[in-house]
Amino acid sequence: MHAESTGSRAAGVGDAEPGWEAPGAGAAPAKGHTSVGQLAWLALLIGVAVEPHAGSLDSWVLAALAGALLWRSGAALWHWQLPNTPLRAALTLSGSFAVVYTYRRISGLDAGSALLILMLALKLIETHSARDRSIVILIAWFVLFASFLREQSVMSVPQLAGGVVIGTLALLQSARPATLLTPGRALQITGRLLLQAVPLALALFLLFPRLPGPFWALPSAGDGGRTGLADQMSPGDITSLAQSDEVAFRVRFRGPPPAPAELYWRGPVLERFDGRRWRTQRDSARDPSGPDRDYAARAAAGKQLYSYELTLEPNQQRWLLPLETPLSWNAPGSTLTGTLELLQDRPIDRRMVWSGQSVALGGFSDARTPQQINLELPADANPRSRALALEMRLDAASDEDYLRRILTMFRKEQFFYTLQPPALGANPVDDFLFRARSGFCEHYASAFAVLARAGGLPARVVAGYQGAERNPVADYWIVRQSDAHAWAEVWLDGRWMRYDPTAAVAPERIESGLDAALPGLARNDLPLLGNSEWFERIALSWDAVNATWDRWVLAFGPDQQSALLEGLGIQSPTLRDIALACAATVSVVLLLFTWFSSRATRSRPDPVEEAWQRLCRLLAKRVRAREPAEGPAEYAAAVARIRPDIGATIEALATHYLRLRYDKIPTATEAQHFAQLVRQLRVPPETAIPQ
Amino acid sequence: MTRPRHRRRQLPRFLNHRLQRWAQRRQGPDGEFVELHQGRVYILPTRSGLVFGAVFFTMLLGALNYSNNMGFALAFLLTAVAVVSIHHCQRNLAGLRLSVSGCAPVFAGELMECTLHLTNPGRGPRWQIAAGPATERTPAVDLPPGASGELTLRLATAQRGRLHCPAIRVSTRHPLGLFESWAWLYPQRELLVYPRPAESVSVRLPPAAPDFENAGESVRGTDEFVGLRPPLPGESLSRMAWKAWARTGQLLAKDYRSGAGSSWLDWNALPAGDPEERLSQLARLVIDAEAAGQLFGLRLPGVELPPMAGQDHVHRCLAVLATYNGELRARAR
Repeated sequence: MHAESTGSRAAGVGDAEPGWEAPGAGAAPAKGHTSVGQLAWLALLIGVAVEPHAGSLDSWVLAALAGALLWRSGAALWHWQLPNTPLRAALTLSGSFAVVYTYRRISGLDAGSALLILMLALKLIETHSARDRSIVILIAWFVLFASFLREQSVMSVPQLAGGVVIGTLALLQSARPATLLTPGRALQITGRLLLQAVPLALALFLLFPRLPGPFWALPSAGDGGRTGLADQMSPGDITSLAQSDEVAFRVRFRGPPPAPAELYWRGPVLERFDGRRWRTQRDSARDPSGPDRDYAARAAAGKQLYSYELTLEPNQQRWLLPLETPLSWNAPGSTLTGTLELLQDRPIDRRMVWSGQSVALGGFSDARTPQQINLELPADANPRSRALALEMRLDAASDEDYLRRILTMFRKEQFFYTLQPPALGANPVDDFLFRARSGFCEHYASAFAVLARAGGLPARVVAGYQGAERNPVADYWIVRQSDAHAWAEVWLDGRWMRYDPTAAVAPERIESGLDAALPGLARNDLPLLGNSEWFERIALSWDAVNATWDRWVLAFGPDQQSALLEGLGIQSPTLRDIALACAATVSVVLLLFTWFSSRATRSRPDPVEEAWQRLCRLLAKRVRAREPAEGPAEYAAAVARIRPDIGATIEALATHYLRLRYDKIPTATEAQHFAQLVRQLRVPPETAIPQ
Repeated sequence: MTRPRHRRRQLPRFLNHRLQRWAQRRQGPDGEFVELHQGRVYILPTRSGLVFGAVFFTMLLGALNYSNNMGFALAFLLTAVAVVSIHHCQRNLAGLRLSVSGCAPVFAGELMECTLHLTNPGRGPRWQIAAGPATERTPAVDLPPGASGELTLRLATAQRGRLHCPAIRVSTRHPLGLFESWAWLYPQRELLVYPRPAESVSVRLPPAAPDFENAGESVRGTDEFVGLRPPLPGESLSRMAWKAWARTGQLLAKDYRSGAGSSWLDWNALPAGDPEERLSQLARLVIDAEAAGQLFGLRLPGVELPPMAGQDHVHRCLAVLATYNGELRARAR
């Protein structure tokens, strides 16, 4: 085709691929223009994404964002001048410094989200093109993601839905350079996208391999204030826990629940005492062999067995908090220590669901004699308490009588149960027993254990929770941080026996909870609505919704995933099995989707095109085939040269065909008319033509 | 961002070129009308698409690290939306009917305009379909079901000659701009570029025949067929161009003129020198002669067009000038 090339100087014709020009200036929309409508969508998305952070951010961050939004809207509406590059650089620098100055760091949830929102504000004031808009959307989505690190209750579901829907709408509108789609049309497109995306997302959510555990440090801020039991206890620790209404865990009993006074949830067992503070055994000192095999067998015979399922909130500790005394449990990665602590092999950093069976016993047998550590008291601490113990032990008839005398002392003498205990001095137990005489459960448990040890009895303190609030709406029990409790355990006759001195001081606490024991207790829950019954009911219903959400959605993790796959017939799935199942499911979903969509796109057969093809086939047989590059008009002209007898008809048909093609889409009658004309065409064999 | 944006390509130039060649081998040349079947609609993530993918992956890592199920939900939902948008993007192009028209010859240095006709035969609307280089500024058309639209393409021309019509890239980023699907169209068209007419001509226009000026109607003799013209009132039926009417639907009369008033535009009458310059000057002469209403012939070494008038003749002459290869012929002689 280049046979008649234009010589050496015109060499450009063949080798460098010539390209089509960008359309001339003026015809196209102004470069990088962001319309008011597009800005409105961006602002809406930013509102949804930033709202959950608003409570915990410094107000200047929000003010900066609002200012950026205002400035950008001003530029779009009233042609305000947007900041130039040096000013933007200055704003970026001062913003980063302000974050570091405010939060003293740049990692952590608060500082991180402040930085992200600041980036959002800065990007906003330099937003012009579709690309800029898409980056704003991307940052907003990441801000939304960060908000789930703060809070992922049921309340964040609308946030998620809103963020995805509005973000997709905003992206759809942003990707268009010129005119916006009408809201109805945009919603239709977005709706279709999302409806098709949801099954895929669900498959990924359920089957994407969940790896256990953090790969890098968890954010400290935001989670730092997390309350819960710890591996040590000083006077006042549990008192401060009792002020918190936060849910520690929820329990669902299969079968009848124990009496409230029997609800002792066993946590850390504190054996080391330094005169003030109780601590657990070091991990290395823990008995690896676990408890005696029949530690509860004799006592459990004939007793009521309680089955329960416990949804534990993440608390960064390792105790699974079974009902005393645990007999069996189904919680991967956990062991029962010799002190009857049910310990997870790693801190519980996600909501965890496990089930177990317990008997409600006030003690358990142990074949091993207690170690020296259960008798140790610092030689120089609490001298008056030790003197008192010796005195009381001499008066007592037996060990049991001695312990009973201590409880009687707590009950009969002027001891008070209070959430506002006075500060204790250098010898806290002496100070408590002889001066303050008012305290919370840990004061009593600690004093009891010290007195028992001083009287020659091995003793220790057990921390955990006592009691639970029943939710009648969904029939489960809520255990809050305010139910945190401490009691003592004493070695008697080959058994560790539970002694709860709090029950001696304030029996209502054990029978019916903290609110009954301390009626004037003002915790910070909506004082105005106070105790009205319907409010209580609404609150409990709401907790039931949350519990379901926590149990079925938020607690979904590696264990639940394995259980799901086992339910589908894959026995003890490995990570590889899960990945394969995920890949297979996603592929099937995508294939189904492709199949449906290709069925939908298959265009209607075109009668005009079919008729023209038939005409071409006929002429190819009788006259000559059409060259690939030959247009209809050229082909008809060529045919007319060869066969003048039918030439005019063919040329007329080609013209007709071109008109149907180039003008608007032909109506059905027009198309059928053309098809009929082609069908009526007769091409006599060439030999029949008189030359 | 205020910095100027240049043509943004999805792929490096080299790769794009290879891919296009491969697609051309695969598809073969296109006929007059093209229906884009799914197999020739390609799709790749745009740059934003890649950035979004990276951020979604970061979200996934964060969700894994913090065992944050709402984070998983967000990351998976957004990923799923992006994946689903692949289908929507491809479906936006697949099934589209395309044809090219226009592409009238231009003088070198001018922009050649071609019109791309797009027809949506499907049941659903199509959005934001662009043609030509993929930039933000490329205007795009929305096509409701059954509608047709047009996009104008412009091609810069630098040199005279025949130009093979470059591949036309029809593309869309609908719906989310995260993916771009595109198809290449290979129209089998030769685009003709005339020589750039010289500013001034070094020789005078050859003198016209003396009787031409006042010849008027009498010139329209029966000597030579020179082209087609609108019919005059009372035109003889035998002068009508019936064949052309059947072809184009426009009724014209055949124009005959006497060869007496003709002049020759001759290559050899021009000063020797750069052959391209000579061709430019001849192009100028052709334009001027037509403007003066003269009958003229064109004579180049090896080519001779007898004197005629009319637009057809002008185009024929310019086409000869466009494709003339002087040196080759000179060497052949």
